[in-house]
Amino acid sequence: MKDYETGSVWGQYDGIAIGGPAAEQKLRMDIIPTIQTTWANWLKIYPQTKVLPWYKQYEAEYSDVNYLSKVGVKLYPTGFESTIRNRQDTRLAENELVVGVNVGETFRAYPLADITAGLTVLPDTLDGQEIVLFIDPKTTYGAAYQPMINNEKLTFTVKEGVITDNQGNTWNLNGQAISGKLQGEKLPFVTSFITEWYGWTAYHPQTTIYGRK
Amino acid sequence: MKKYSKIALVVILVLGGMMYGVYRYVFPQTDLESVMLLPVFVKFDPVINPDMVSPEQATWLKADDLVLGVEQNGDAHAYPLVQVQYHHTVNDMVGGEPYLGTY
Repeated sequence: MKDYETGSVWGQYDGIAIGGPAAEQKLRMDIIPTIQTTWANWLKIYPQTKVLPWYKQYEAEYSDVNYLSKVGVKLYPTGFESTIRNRQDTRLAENELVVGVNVGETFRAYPLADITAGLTVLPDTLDGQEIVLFIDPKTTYGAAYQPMINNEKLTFTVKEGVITDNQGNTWNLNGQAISGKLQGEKLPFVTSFITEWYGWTAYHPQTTIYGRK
Repeated sequence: MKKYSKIALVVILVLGGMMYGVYRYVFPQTDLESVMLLPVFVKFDPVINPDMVSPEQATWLKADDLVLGVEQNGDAHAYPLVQVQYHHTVNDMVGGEPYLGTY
């Protein structure tokens, strides 16, 4: 990405300036949680939401993108990416969707295809820090949080299709308690997002893959 | 001699075009050159300061359509995936703070 104001170039995976004046100042953007979910579900969580307007002039470009739900779909001819990249990590298919999670200098990819149980709560430890992933493969949603509120550790399960903790609070995918004593509280976000494998591993070749060697 | 200079020009144009295509792929969001060569190369127009609309106005959205959603300081914004997959970047303000959505 390039900004208009300074012409600096930025990596879209980590928000770090890699060229131009912003890079000289070692600037980086903070990553905040961005949910991918259905319109109905988002509207249920945030009835007051605002929506991007429909730009008629781009109608032709707004083609069907539900291809993303078909995991592993190929956008480019075989080997195309390798012509512009030196490194090609073949541990997963180039376009396989993963939840990429970053704690400190540790990176881990969680392949969505491995999540077969629908809405899933997945605890893990990364760089010594306990995390919990909320994953909904149906809407290709995944994000990681610290399972902590006010220094108190919470344990999560999915009960009747709802994320529930050991104190009986229920939570939405955004890491916010929607009922119970903790209603309104938000779990601390751990840098994470849904991404295609080739981009994640190009930026973070040292990444491990959950559940794989 | 004149004939060869014409061939050289074509070779330079073709090679230059190929190199530009690679550059365009790596940095799809650059501005000036993309405007100049708009008809030649596929590019993505970013969204800048959108006039966000209410859910009632978003009549084109169906219940099962995927959106990217962000919430900051109680302000929630939804970006339909079908649109974001084209624009690739959305420059917006959410909850009084600048927000850049990338896809």
